[in-house]
Amino acid sequence: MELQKFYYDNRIVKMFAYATLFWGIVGMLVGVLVAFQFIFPELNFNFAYTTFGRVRPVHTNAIIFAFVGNGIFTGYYYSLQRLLKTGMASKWMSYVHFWGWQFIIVLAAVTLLAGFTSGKEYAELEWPIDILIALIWVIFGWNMMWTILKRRTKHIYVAIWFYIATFVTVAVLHIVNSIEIPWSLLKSYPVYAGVQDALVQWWYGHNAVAFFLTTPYLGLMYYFLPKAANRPIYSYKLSILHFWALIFLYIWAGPHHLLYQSIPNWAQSLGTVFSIMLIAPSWGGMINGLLTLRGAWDRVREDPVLKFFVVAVTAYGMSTFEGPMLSLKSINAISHFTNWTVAHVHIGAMGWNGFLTFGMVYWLFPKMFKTKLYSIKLANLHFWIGTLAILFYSIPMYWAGWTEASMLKQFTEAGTLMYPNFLQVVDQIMPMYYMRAFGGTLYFLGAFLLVYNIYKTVKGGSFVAYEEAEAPALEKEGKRKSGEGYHRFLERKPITFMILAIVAILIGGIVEIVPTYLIKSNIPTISSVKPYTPLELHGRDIYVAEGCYNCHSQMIRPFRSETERYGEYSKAGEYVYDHPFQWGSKRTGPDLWRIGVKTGKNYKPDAWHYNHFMDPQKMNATSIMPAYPWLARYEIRLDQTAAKIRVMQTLGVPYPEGYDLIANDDLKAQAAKIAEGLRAQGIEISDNKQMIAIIAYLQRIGTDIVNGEPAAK
Amino acid sequence: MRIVSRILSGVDGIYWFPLIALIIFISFFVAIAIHTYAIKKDRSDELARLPLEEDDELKNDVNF
Repeated sequence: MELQKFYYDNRIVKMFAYATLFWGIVGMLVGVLVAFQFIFPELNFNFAYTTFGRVRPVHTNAIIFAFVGNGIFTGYYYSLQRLLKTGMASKWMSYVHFWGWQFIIVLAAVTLLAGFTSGKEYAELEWPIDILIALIWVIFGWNMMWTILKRRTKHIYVAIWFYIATFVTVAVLHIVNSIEIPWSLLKSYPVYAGVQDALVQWWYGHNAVAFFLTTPYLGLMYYFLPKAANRPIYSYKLSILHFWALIFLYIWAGPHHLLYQSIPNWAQSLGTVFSIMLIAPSWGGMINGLLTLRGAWDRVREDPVLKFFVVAVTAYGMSTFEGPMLSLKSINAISHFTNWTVAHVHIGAMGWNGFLTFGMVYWLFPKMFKTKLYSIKLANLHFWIGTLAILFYSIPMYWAGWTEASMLKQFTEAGTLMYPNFLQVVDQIMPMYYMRAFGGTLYFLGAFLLVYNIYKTVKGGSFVAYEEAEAPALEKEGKRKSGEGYHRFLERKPITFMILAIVAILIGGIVEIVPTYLIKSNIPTISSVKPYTPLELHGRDIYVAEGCYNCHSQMIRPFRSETERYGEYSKAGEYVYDHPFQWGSKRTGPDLWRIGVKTGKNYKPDAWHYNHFMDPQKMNATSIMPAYPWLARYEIRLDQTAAKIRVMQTLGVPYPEGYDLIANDDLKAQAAKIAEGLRAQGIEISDNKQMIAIIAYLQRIGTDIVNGEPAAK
Repeated sequence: MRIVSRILSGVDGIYWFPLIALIIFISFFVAIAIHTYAIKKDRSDELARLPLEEDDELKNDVNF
């Protein structure tokens, strides 16, 4: 057969690799900043754009979508071309993908800091960016499928199945979770509310971990680990089995983020069962990775690339064992809302994603620049600094998580809470926050060594932008031949394969989400629960914009330790007008759901809230909450009220017909009353400030069932 | 929320969807498992070597 000459595009790989390093440094630096904000609240700088609630989503989004995202595309563009023996199908699509993705990242950083957020974790970006993400994602996927179709190899290697599954699933997740109705150029409300919003969000959130942080990285592992070890993958059969099992099972496990919360019991059980089952396919991947090194362990001692890979795969195994354990209700009761979760995700992010990326980068650059790595010693130093950093980060966070749960659940012999003040817990875990910040800084410094090493390697090498290669053209093959296995047949039919992957992941989604919309008993209605007033709605949007959900939950679980501390546990029917839900996932500060209940333990008058927002440390010396002085300066956007009300009406919130036109009258009346009360306390404030709206909102949440009729049983 | 419930409740026989989905899931997975078990060893070894074949220059045993 005649050999065809073609070129591998290394330029696109190099561009994504540089972007990975650049955004990695940025994302980690922001991480270091937020870590120090826990210790020194002054580092919030009394400035809206730099407060924790806005910066923390920048950190998570930068690490997930900018650092890891560009890392995925680096390895993907390198391996896809070589595994298929062809250049990319479309050069312009590759470059539109690159620049589009970087543009999205910049837009994300700017809008998140400016307070434009959907308020849903890891899906914070607002609707215009959501649309852009969908477009760029389709271009990436289109180019991939096209390249697969014009390949010169008969079969599609397992790494590429993981890429295909990533493409289709992320597309589905992103679209379903981002269905929202805009009420301004940069703001929207999600179509889902309360319980449904929570279920959809964590179906997305969990699978963002699965299909953005896991499947593409398994694809990279299946390519780069055999390359670096120069050994074939341990078991190809295992890779088939664990691939299908992984994509089938992952999609069901989302509700484990909502255990003991106001979602139906059957959904919680579903989440737990599927999470436990996930151990098998996850460990299938880990075992396959580690056993690939059988007979090559002596090289792990010398080769920093393999060292990084070994720790990455081990961290993957640890996280994927810990995850199912955290899905057990009894363990989740302890771990949830504490720093335990933070430790868990950082084993995954720093260990699995970070180290796999570092190993890949150390391997790739010498190859693309036809040279040797500048310094193996420096790479080894990076490895040890990074490993220590992971330990310094995670051990204190595990310790802190356990301490938090133990203290918050502790009762005295008389039956009262041993530590009734949440700040007692914050004070106790302060040393852990110090150590975590040290660990994070160490990790960041390690990444700097990588950048320096790569810079020197690049300087000393000569880049091959288009690498020449030769391969025979692929013979046309049609139907399945007799004796050909079904999966083997499937492996050379990429489109069929893609459709099957979509079917696989849609099944879980259908089972999980459809019934909650249809079975009325899933969300018992509570007649006393009424829509927010226009002022409270504005206050709620400020709550979302400032990212309060990053530290405060609005979800009281049915434990005595929580009902004693916060008040009556949360009911599903209380959240039916919450677009988006704001249950939160971590309690750096206390739960706020019953903060407005006048007879409750935590009730605070309006003036307290005002003073607390202006200077939290004046009210509680050891508080680590940032100050929000601008809320007393910025005005409520009355011009937006009508649009907000109309969108809410479209979503089914029962405001009376034509209410959008008169809503501002109600708003002004309610604001005047609150402002008057504040002025009576000697606080100088006018009626139209954002502070008034957020106080109105805090005084309202969770009060309907207390002030109205008792909740339906 | 109501908007989504309204759309979904308009789909005929939607109550059967979860059950059908579950049956497809289990049967497909069992089929894959049986099939995978039946792959011949030399074939699976050949497929496992795919990433190594393509790079002829990579004959050296170490990366640096």
